[in-house]
Amino acid sequence: MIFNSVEFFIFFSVFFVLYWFVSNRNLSFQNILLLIGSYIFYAWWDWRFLSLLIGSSLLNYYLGLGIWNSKTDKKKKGLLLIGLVQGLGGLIFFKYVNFFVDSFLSAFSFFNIDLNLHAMNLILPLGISFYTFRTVSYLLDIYKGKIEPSHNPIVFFSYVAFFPSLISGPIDRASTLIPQLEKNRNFDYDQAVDGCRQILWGLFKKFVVADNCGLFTKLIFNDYHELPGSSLLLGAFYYTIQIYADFSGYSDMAIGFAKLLGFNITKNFDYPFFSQNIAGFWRKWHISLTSWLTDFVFTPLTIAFRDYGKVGLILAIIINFTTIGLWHGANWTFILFGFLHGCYYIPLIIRGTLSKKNKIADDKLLPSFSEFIYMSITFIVVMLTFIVFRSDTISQAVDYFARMFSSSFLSIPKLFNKITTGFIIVLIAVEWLQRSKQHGLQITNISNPFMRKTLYFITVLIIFIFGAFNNADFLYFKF
Amino acid sequence: MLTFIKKILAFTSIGIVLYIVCLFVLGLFVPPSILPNIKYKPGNYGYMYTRLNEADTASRVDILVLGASHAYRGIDPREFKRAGWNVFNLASSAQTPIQTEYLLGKYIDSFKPKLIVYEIAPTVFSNEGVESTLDIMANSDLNSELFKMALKSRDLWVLNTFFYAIGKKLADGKKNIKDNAGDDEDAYISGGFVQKKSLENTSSLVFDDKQIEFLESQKDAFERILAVASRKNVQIILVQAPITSEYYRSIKNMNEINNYFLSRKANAYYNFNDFMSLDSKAFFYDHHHLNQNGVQFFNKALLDKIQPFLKKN
Repeated sequence: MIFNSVEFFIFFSVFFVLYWFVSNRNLSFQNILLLIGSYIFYAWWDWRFLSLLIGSSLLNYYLGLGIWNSKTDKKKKGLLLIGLVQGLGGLIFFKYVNFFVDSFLSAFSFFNIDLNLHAMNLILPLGISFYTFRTVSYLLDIYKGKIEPSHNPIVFFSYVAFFPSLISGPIDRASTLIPQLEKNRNFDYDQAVDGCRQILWGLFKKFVVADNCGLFTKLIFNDYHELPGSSLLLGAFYYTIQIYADFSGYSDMAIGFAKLLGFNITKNFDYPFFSQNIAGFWRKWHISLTSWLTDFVFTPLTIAFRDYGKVGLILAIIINFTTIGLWHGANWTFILFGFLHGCYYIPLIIRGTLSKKNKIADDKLLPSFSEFIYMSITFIVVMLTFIVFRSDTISQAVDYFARMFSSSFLSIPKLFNKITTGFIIVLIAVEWLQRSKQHGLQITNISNPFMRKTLYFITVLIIFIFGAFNNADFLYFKF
Repeated sequence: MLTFIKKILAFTSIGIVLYIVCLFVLGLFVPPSILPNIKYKPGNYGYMYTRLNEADTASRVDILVLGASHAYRGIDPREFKRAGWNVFNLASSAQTPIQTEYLLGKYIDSFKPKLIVYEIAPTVFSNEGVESTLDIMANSDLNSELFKMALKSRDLWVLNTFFYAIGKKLADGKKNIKDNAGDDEDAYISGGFVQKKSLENTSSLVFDDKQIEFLESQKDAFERILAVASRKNVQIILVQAPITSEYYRSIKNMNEINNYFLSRKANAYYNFNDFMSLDSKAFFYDHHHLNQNGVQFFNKALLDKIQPFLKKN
């Protein structure tokens, strides 16, 4: 059951009515309904892994209470360790064990040593990367004394399984979501309408931009050795836009559905392609993941390496971004992707401009020439790393680069699609104009309601007439 | 809260009307080639436009043929004419039972056949039928039954194309529609048959094993087809046309499929793959379509099987 399916539309319509009309007078009842709805949503994918989700919630609920109530540091640490081993251990087992086995086998076979190891036939439980990060941050925040544990199991279980963001995030922190689960929620008309607008914008990004780009990236990446360099550049461009529109479109829908239920969840994208350097880009791209890793990986590393000056900072950044890469999956391409992004930070660290936040075209319609150049450079360097991200192996990525920067680089590209490119321009233009807003369709500045509604209808019609509907899955489901 | 629901319902209602009007207007003025979600291709392939035009003017026949490409490329009315039987072949590309039901309902009273030969390629039972619905939509007049069939498909391409086609047919009429002859390889033969000129089969004959799972919606439509034939007192014979033995052997649940068809309420079921052995290179032009030499052998065998049913009437 994905957001852009008829099944979800029916599920959510029924759920919405029950949520606001039947269970709205009793918070506990409303939370129980939310929990049941979340479990139905999850079980729709694969009921076998529901027990894993429930088991993980149960263990972490008691561990949270245990850490909070422990009198000694040793006991706290012990309980935290159990939580980390269970959460991260489960994640490593399902997501990375085969990768490590394969890598060991390859390494040893290089020295003609035959290890009696075999890869296992494992299915990655959907959303495990996302809900594990929720439970781990919950325990770490309790351990550090930043939050109190939840004493209500229904609230905590609902936090872990909150269905709008269960499968692909945003990765909400307990401090954001649990307080909202603990207090009465009243239907807010403006919030609900804005949720609908955001869902509509997410659908536009997914169906019209991402899935149309996807048709061409699939062709280009599958047949890259047959195509001229200019087409490979086009493939990299389409893929960069595809992954952004796909993932940010999903996040918009998740936030929109949460708003319809009276929740405000973490913003996950903040127009990253309008960043002037790589640090700006990562402040705006997959925000919930980067802020999680900043708190639990980067910050502890900078403290550990603080005696080594800029070298320590570079090391912390590179480890942090390599972890981000590895989070995406068990493949050397993801690790290299993260590593390269870490390396992109080195000039900023050397120049001492790492934490400088540049506001772009503040109150102006267009960026200045220098802003435009920096934005373009940032986009290009990011785009180049997405070639690595999209490739199956590093050698394929290297081959792709070699063929892209060949003599046919300046030829007329094959597989250029005017309609898809036109909608990419529309996406970029709308997001540029709306960059101070939460999403592209938050057009409250247009005072004429007829005008606003016309724009909504046009968006709907564009989705139905120009959307690509044969690639319904979201790219980030596999992460 | 109620205001919100009312507004959402109003928005949805207006949206549906605007959606239909917009597609109709696009049909009037915009060519389908620039609209990715509109698959309006009259005369695209398979000669459906010519076949349906002929069907609209044809009168009584002895045998009505239904099915997919194995039928319209495999059952040649000329072979039956020689034996004294009039045949019309109403099969079309990838025609699934859902489309067969529609076509049978539309034409059974004008053809008044003595016998229906229904070619049941198992693969079409696992197909939603989008391609075939679009084919019929582009090549015939639109009506409420066709709209119901479009709705059943639950496919956006089909719905978009239906509303677009209303405008397009109004704007263009039947001008400029000409069936695509497939690089002059195909020739339309009166009575709905399409003859492939090529006799050579150069396609690969290596296949992965497969299981064909029938869709419930197609099984339901199939039952309704049998019920229509029974209600109209028309004999119906189920036929599986020959395909290459290599391809046939790759379908691992053929016993189950045969049992399914044998247990239906038809007058007979003949799987010609079980009692005809045609050389895959000499009698086919690809892995599952007979060439004209193969058609002659198959039609002779088919005629032998159906003659007793025809002579009953």
